[in-house]
Amino acid sequence: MFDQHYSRLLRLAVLLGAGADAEDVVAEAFCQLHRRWSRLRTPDAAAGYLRSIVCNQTRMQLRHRKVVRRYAERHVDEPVLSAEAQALLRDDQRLVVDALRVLPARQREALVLRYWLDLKEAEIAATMGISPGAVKSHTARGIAKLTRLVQDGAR
Amino acid sequence: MNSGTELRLWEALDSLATSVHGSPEAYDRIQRLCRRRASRRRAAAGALMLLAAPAAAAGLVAFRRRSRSPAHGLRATPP
Repeated sequence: MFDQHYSRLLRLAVLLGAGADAEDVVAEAFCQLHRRWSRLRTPDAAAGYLRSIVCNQTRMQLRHRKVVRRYAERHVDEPVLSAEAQALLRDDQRLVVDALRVLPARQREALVLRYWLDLKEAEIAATMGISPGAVKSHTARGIAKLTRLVQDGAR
Repeated sequence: MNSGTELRLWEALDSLATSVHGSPEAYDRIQRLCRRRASRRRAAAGALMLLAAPAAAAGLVAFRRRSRSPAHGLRATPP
């Protein structure tokens, strides 16, 4: 299970904006799966369950970071791209990644699950715990806003 | 309409994803975390049982006393 899913989940967490907390997020997902393994309907449901936990945990981390930034006096570092990512990404790709980070969490999740994991609408809905209609609207709004941000950034 | 953005997004996500690698000790770390949490849960459940035991015993005594009373006894026994 770990070998099959770990790196994919870690990448998902990074793409969703978990930054340096990505490994913690994925570790938490595996721990929660371990605890609730007996409650799974089928072992095949584990992958979807892990994906959902990663999305929820990343959202929680981002929310926590926002609250800390608002109330704590100490400076909270924004997650930055690793040196390898900086080297790998072209300028235009970096522009897209930066724009993706500005989007609301739900829109970002919908776009990453759709365009990177290539999930179907129903699977995205199950992962995010929303209706397929809401997935459609988050995806459409997300892509429209991303287009605007990228165009503005390119100017 | 936004196929240009979709393609660029897919490329950017793919490039960013390939730059992500987990630490080699991730598996051991998760195992340790699971074990620690499981032992904490067992300890908490044990403590809860110890706390609940006197209350449960008192409840049982009260139930037996009630069921011995003539009114309850008469109703409970089948004809």
